Amino acid sequence: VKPWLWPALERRLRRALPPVRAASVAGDLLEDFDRRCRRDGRLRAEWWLRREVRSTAAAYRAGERRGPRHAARSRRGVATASPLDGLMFDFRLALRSLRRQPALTAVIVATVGSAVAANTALFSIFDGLLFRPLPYRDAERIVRIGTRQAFAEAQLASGAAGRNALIDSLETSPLLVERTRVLQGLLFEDGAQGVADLDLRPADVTPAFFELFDIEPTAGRVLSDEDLAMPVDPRRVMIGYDLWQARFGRDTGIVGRTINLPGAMFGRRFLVVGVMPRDVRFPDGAELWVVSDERPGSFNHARLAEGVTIDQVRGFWPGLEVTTLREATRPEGAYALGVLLASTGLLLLVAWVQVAALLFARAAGRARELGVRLAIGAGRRRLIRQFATEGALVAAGALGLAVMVAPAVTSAVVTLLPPEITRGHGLQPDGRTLLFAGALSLAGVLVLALAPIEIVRRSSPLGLMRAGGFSGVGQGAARLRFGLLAAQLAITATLLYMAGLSAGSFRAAGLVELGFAAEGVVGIQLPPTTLVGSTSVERRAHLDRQVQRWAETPVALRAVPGVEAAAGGRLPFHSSVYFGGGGLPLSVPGRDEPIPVDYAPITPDYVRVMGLRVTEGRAPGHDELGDGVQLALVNTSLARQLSAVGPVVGQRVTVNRRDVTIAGVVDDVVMARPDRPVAPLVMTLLQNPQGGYVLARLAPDAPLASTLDAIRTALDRVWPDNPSREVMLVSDLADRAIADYRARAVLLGLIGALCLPLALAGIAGALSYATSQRVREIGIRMALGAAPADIRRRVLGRAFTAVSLGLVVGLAGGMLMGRLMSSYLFGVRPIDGWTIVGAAAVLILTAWAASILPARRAARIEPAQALREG
Amino acid sequence: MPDSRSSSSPLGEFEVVVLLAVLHVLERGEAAYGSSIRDEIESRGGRPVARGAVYITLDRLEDKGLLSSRQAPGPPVRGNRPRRIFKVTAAGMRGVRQSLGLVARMQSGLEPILGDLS
Repeated sequence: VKPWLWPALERRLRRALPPVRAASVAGDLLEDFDRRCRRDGRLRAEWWLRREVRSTAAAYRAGERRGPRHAARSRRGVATASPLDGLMFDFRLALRSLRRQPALTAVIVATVGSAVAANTALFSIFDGLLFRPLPYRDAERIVRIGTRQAFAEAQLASGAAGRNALIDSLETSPLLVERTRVLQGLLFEDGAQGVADLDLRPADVTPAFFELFDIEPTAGRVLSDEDLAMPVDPRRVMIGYDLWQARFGRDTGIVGRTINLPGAMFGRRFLVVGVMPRDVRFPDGAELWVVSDERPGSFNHARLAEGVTIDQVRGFWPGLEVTTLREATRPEGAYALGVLLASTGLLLLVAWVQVAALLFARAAGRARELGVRLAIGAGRRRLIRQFATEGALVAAGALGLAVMVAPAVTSAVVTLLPPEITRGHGLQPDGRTLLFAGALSLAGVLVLALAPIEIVRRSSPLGLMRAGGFSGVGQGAARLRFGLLAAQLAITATLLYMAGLSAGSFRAAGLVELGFAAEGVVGIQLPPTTLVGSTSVERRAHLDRQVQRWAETPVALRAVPGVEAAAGGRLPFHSSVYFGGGGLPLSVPGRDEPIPVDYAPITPDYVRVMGLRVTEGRAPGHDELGDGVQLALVNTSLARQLSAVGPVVGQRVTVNRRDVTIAGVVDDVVMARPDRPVAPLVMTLLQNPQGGYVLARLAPDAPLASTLDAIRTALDRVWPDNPSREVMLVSDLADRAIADYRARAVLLGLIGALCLPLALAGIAGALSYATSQRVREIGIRMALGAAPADIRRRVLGRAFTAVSLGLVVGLAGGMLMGRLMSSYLFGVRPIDGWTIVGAAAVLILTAWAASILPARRAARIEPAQALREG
Repeated sequence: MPDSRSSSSPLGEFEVVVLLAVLHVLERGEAAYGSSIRDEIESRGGRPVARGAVYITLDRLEDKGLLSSRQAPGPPVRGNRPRRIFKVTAAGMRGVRQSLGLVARMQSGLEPILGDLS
């Protein structure tokens, strides 16, 4: 009985042993095999036989006729063929070959390392903003519920009864199992508001919050119903993990202590009952949580009952705005960043292509070595293994570099992004994102490290040795190299084009005619109406005092030196109920359908403060506002619709259950977002502000800082016990409104900026390589009379062929990407002439800069020397 | 490559072991060929011996003239592959005696230290 593998084994023996011996040794082996088969079974005997043949052949090869000691040593030599020893051998070999070219190795490691680090940073940000699961139990069942619109509609349709019915159904429906109210900011019992101008962000929640979000305190306990009944000074709070770490050094002894938070909280005292978990910063980066009572129908977050879908809830209460918590906490415009995710993928690709080119150059330099090794019998698998080991070593180095650099890169990118987008999210690289970016890049590196083998395989060892380079391989290698370069340039062009489109959108959004002079306008949010006091008389008195102060505020501001005018009214770009939200119905006699409008009560000076231009009619003064007649201003958008009914000025319309007479028309004013069309707006005129905002226009020559200080002092005087310290510049708010455009422009610009040096290195490397391969040809050309300028032109021409090819393909890709991201573009079309010109110019300039050196070096080639050496 | 050392030079340890193994097999009246010699060494030495080392040593001893070999047909399982049967030559016997004699002389008197060697 012969084993099936016997012929191969015998061939092996014949190769290693002298022919005279081979037959008898083979016979002995077969005899022993037969015995073993009977003793141990066929399978084990075959294993034994294979091992035996291998060791005998190896012993003969290494120790033939050298005596037993050598034979014994050669047995150890056989042992090195075990996988682990082989790996160590490959590892040492790879290390040696990498050390032989330290500069090249460093460039490769740095390229891959920084690409991985950059991608880790970008992935971490996208991951944090978009994908990282929310740190709450069953977070997908938590929804945010916006009730205002539904309540307003119910009220409008059937008065208080309709509203109460809606509240009842919301509070008792089995569709929702847990409900809580979450507010940003913090209202004190006397109406003072903890504000957000310092780095502390308070949140006011109901005790159900901690259950609904399933919060496990890091220290202490969560707030509960009992805390509601406790005295309000000191107020019981939970503090955020970051605050705990930064101000209290993670001291668990803080629990049960009374702390003082000067500044933001007017020196109020707080009793810390617990510390929040590290990753909970809800809502909106909160760091301080207090509880207060819940009124019926005031909840705005709830948990869906088991098996209930969000669509069922939406269908049940049509007017309700129901969003998943994920959508609600995802920053405005963050989805847009998804486009950027694709761009980071492109960045990775650029780095790969770059590395492929470098590794290719390495392989080219080693052609002779490879030829020799092939000639003396190195197998293809052997060489592939070595290339793979080198690739893995490079990858490990790069990953190490990335681990060190990634956190710094991430925080750098985060600081470049608008805080509106990044606040409240843990944007730090973690193992997940590092692994993701690393695996993507490193898999690519490994594959590309093996690419040279393909070329080596197709060429003969002799050709490799003789040519000392890949010229022996023919045109294939050169074409591959050129293709890699063109691909890289194409990706770079695509990214530059996308960055250009985003920058253009940002610019266009910033240039939108706002319809008013935002510069020099400041806004202050007034404390809202609160019911304070135990009896109705006390409450009435408190409210009267509040009304009095509202009226005094503009007067006090007008007295501040540097303030030209002050008025009550809407503060543009500050979140408000009616703006951009579909609006209130405005009914017009003679028109069946009500017009949905934005609504804002203002005082007469608002027109002056905002610098609104009256185009029709007039802006009434204070003296014209009587008891009987309600006057209003409308914007051009609304006037256009009203003019279908009759002359606009003097028309009587009904809005917010009031009859008003239109006194004038003002230009359209951007109040919400510059990139959205202006909604129809009606502004009713009031003698004095009633809550809301007070705005002031500063004189053009007024020094900003001292005027703002004076304004704060004036506010302190009017509101001694609860001053609102947040004085907002409208121009800042306008900037903030287009923060997502800025974010995209910055990020894409950054990615583009990262690609440019890679492109530079790619072009320079390719040209240097091409020149070094053609020294002889250039020498002959020069010997035949070519001027150095001709040579230079030839080298530059090569670069520009690659650049033009890259530009054509890349810009086409850019336009395609532009179409995909068209909803994030504003004021530029996906195919934009200026952006094309700009991207092309940048790339051509880069190519030119990259070619100078190789071109000059080529032109300096000494013909005689080149011919002698070539 | 012919060996430079003369046949009178002391043998290496493994060479002596192989020669003794051949003698043992012959003593039992069996045919001394590669496998049986190796089995003999392994069963007496108690540890595995590389097949290659045995063959190389046999070749070497034959080159030195201490062993002689002839081809003989083996059992059918070998499929026509001859057995190489070894015999110890007179020089071989002399060499073994010399080596063992040297060892025995060196060893005598050390029994209290070395103890029982078998």
